[in-house]
Amino acid sequence: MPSVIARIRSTGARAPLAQLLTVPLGLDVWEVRPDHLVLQADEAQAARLQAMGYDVEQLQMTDSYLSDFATARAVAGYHTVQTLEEDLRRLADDNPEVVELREIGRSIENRPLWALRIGERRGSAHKVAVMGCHHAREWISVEVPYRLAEYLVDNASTEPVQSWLQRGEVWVAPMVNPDGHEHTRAQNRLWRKNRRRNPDGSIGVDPNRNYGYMWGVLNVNTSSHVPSDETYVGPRAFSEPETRAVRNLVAREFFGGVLTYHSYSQLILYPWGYTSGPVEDESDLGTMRGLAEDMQRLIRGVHGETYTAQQASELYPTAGDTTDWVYGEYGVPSFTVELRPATALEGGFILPADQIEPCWEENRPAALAFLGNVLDRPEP
Amino acid sequence: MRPNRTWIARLTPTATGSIEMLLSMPVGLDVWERRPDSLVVAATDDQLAELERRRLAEVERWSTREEFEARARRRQNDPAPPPTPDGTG
Repeated sequence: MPSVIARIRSTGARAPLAQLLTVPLGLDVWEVRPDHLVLQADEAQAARLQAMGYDVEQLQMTDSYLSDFATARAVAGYHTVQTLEEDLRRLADDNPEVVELREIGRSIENRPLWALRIGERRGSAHKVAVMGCHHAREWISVEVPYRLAEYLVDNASTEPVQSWLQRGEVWVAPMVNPDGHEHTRAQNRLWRKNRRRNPDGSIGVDPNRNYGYMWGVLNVNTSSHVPSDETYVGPRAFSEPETRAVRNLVAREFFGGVLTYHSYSQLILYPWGYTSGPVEDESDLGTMRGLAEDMQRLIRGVHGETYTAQQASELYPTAGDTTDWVYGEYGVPSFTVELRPATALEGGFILPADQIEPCWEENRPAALAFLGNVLDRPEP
Repeated sequence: MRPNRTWIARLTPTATGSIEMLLSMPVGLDVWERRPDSLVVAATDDQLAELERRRLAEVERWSTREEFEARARRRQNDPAPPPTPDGTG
């Protein structure tokens, strides 16, 4: 039965508001205000309330409410595909000497995949990439890389950013999966994958299982070969235009490190994900573990939040993710940062918008430490 | 036909199971969190029933996916205590 979101007012002593909080009508009360309640009710419940003498004002159908994020206060502060493009374009247009907006590819639904190239010197050997939103529902993973780009541009005349941008480049692609992100706004807030139509009629490949290092070697819940599963790895490595775009960018630019944002759980993950065994090269392992632990300390120093540094497979096994591919293919530091919150009880993938800024604030010094680790290295 | 709802649920391995076993089974769980002694997943009625039938995990159904979304949004509009683990909000 369809349900509605309704505002309920008392029409007199016969129908007191307080009674609605105690009578066993099975109502799902969302808000309690002095002069009204907001609740979710099916049509029969709404009709019964009217019969009892209450004023029932239908605000929205529930299904519509669930999909209507564009106007809700809940989304204020989060980018959409469109506003992200506008803001990236503005950053580039306002700072042409240091910023360039590049289309690095197109999504399966033909949306442009945008990346900012930030830096004064082209062709440098010092380059780092920062990416966000492989998974559509992880909205905060757009905001942190976007704010990092904005911070670098705003501080292009201040050390150490000035030196970094004079000698190298930072590429920032805040939204690798725009089709999925748009779907989370319009249809299903908890959608994860891209919007590939699979032959079996299901939709979506998990972009963060579609990269070509150890692709497909696992068939588990967290790296699945079943197309309808949330972690479907795709029919072959790099089958998806989104991952091909990232592959082509990374192959062309030879980054010295790649940082990829996700949510949630508050973790800093380093390779490997496909095996519980450690990275074989002890020097590489020491470098990545040490840097991840530095980032953990830096994050905790801001608001006291704990982001645990650990090998990716300690979270769960993943084959074909960005971090394994970058390190496995290019041998450079590559981290996945799982942003706020820590648990589902704090909202999980639906992080309240008022936490965007604190999340960015605590991640800023850690992101800068990662950039510095790559960009401060001596010339090869 | 009974709708196959998706739940946000906590899976605690039984004595015959383990976290690693739950993760390694190709049953299509959408794993949200790994905790020391449990997983938080999104999974359908059928998937959860299968885990229970095979006695691989104790299943604590916190809320349906729709209820979870609605609660999360309510919390954003009106910051309030988070939902309790039993999903009663």
